[in-house]
Amino acid sequence: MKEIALGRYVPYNSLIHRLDPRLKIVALIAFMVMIFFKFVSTAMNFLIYGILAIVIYIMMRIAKIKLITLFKSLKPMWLMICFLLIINILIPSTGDVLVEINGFKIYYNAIFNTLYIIIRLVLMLSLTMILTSTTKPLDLTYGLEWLMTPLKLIRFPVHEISMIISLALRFIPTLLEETDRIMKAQSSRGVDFEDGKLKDKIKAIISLIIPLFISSIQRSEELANAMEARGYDPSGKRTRYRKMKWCLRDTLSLGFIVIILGGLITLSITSFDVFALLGIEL
Amino acid sequence: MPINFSHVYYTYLPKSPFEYTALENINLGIKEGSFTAIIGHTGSGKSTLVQHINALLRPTSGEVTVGDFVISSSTKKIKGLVNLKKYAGLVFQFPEYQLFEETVLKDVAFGPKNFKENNKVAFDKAKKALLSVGIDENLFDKSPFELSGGQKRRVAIAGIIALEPKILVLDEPTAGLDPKGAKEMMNLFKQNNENGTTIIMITHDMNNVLTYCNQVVVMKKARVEKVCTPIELFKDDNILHNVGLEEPHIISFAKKLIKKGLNLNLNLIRDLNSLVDEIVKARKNK
Amino acid sequence: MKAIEITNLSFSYAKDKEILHDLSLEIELGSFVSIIGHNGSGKSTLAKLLVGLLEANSGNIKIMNLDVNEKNIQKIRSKTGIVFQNPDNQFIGSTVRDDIAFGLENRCIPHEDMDKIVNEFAVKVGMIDFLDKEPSNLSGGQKQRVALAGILAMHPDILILDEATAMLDPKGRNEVISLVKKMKDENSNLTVLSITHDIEEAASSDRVIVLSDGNIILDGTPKEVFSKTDELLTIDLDIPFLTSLKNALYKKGIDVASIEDEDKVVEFLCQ
Repeated sequence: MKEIALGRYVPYNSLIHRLDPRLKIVALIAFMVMIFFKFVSTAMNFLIYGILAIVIYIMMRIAKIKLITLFKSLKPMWLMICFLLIINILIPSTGDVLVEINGFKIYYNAIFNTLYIIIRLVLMLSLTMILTSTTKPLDLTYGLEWLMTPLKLIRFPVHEISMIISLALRFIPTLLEETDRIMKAQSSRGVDFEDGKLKDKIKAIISLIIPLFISSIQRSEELANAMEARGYDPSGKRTRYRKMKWCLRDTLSLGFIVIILGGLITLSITSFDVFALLGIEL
Repeated sequence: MPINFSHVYYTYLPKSPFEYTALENINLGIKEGSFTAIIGHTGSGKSTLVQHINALLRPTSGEVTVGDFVISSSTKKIKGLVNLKKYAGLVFQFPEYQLFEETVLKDVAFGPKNFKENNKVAFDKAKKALLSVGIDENLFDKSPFELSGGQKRRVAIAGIIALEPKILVLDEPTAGLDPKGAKEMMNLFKQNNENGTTIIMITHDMNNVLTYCNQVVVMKKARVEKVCTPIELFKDDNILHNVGLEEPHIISFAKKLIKKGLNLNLNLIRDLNSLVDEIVKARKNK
Repeated sequence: MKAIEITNLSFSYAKDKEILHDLSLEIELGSFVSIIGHNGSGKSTLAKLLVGLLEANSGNIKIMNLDVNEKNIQKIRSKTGIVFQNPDNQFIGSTVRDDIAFGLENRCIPHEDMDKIVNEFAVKVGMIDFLDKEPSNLSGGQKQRVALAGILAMHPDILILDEATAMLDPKGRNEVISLVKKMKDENSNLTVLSITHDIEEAASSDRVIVLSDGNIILDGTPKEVFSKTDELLTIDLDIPFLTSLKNALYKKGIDVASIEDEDKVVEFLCQ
């Protein structure tokens, strides 16, 4: 259980670590949108993906995230990627044919579509990883709360939700520790969590879930008591200890993102094709 | 089954920013039939140490042997070690959190069943274990969640005792119990020890160390600082100070008497009664 | 003025089992009172009733002359602070800093003043070097000290410790106890109500109340209460070392019952 480190906040002090969480959330959304832009030709698509990949790679370097951590988190996805490839190949397509086996045609488009999905997945994962490993979960919550403030107008319980998220985040390490302890306690009673028949496995999981559930309920009751005793009233007015500070570097970074986003939108709308312009045939 | 640690290191999350060494070059032998206390501050590595005894953790380097079982980093998948958990039963701190079955009896029989005992044998063992920890027969069919805190603790401990382990490892078994409950619990372990079970107990209660144990392992900052008998430990003011331990009131009182000239034999003092006996004897000889 | 006045208080979770029975009690302002009793004697229930986390079936509680009821609840909570048993389950903020500030936020202390208060109380409890640490990196004793800081920062009149040291190791326990004593010394008007089953801890307070099955069975100075050995033993409570030593000596024909000080007992025995 203690081995889970993927996407976990890593306390370095890089430029990206110091950026305002609101900016980082907005940037994440902006980049996610950019990843889904379509351009005039396949070559253009790959060119823009290449540029985005380089930008994201540079950000990862700044944030001190090693590529190996990214690949580790991709490991469970190989199956899904193969599955996608097969589906794409089976779906009838149009355009140029790559190979033809016994009358069954495999189109270039099928391969490209699969590649697009893989690239998007990898880029999205990298972006999320940059956000979560450079931003404390609590700052993330505050950032989200600030960005969701307008929703208060439609009576959306922004404050309550943010309190729930921050409490959940606060208790993740505690619950992981608890899970680890109960697993070890049950395994001392002969439970095998790794292999065994389905029936035994179900029993093993029950022996973990029930104690975990009961202790969580008890915890939440005690937590509620502690919060109430210290004067917490969910509907009451509160002041805030943490205030986010917007700095010059945040404005500059925002500018940078706006420029990239604007540039890509222009390229997409104007059907700009750098290869045609340079007269390169593909 | 004797237990032996040789050059054992253990590191949590190696090669990550969260790396943490919990055990450093542990060399330790625990004889069969001993009642050993493991003491030291929170975070000194006590819990990590005992989790090696039933192979819940495997050393990052070095080797632990428990009887014929060998636990080291190179043993990848330890098939034979499944049985080790039966020979070396480990009771965690606040074990009442591991209860989950519908009835007390079923919960205690859960362990023996996991080790492939048939239903009848498992329930017989469970009944025997429950009676030995002082749980009355009329509670057997109740839900474990209806019991009081102290009763839950006993049921949870019975869940390990029902495995009939040769080695019983206990992590602060009396924490949070009231004085009477704690005393009954300790007497239960003493009885098990007299019947031949090796007892290894993490504790903060120096009175228990004095009264019940015949060996103490003192841990400090991931290392074993000293292995000795309780009375050797309490005689040694240096180590007490070094590890930040408080000696039992009985001992500090006896030391005061000795300082003032009363001739007590510290080696014979294990509890209040033996202290009083020594006082009476020394006053007669004066 | 009395800090706490309880009259004819009864409480039960279920109909058939009464936890507290017709309990009456007064606690003087500025006193240090321990309530002891075995598990299930109703002592923690009493603590929850005092701060309005539970509602009494009948009877009345007054805190600093205010009735504990729905209407006064926020006022009552600004006058009382309570430290619970489990260090993990009362650590609300995600860092030491945030946890100390939690109560201040609820009291609507302006943002600008908070940093100063948080620092002041972190220094008082000796946690100033740990302000940005997360709870998973703190020991139980440290977490309880943070809880104390968060509570003391709101300047309560009454501090309730609900077995606040029961889950700590001896070091953590000593840290918390000596901290509470220091706070009491600094502010003689602070009323401390400590619920515990640590006898040595209770022995150092001004007054000890013994609860058994929801009734007060003994009430007095530690000396008075701990001299009633038989009553204490029948309800499965321990007695302090010196008292039990005196009793054991008495059985062997050595009578030191009248000597109070431990060192004087030593001197007597060495004569």
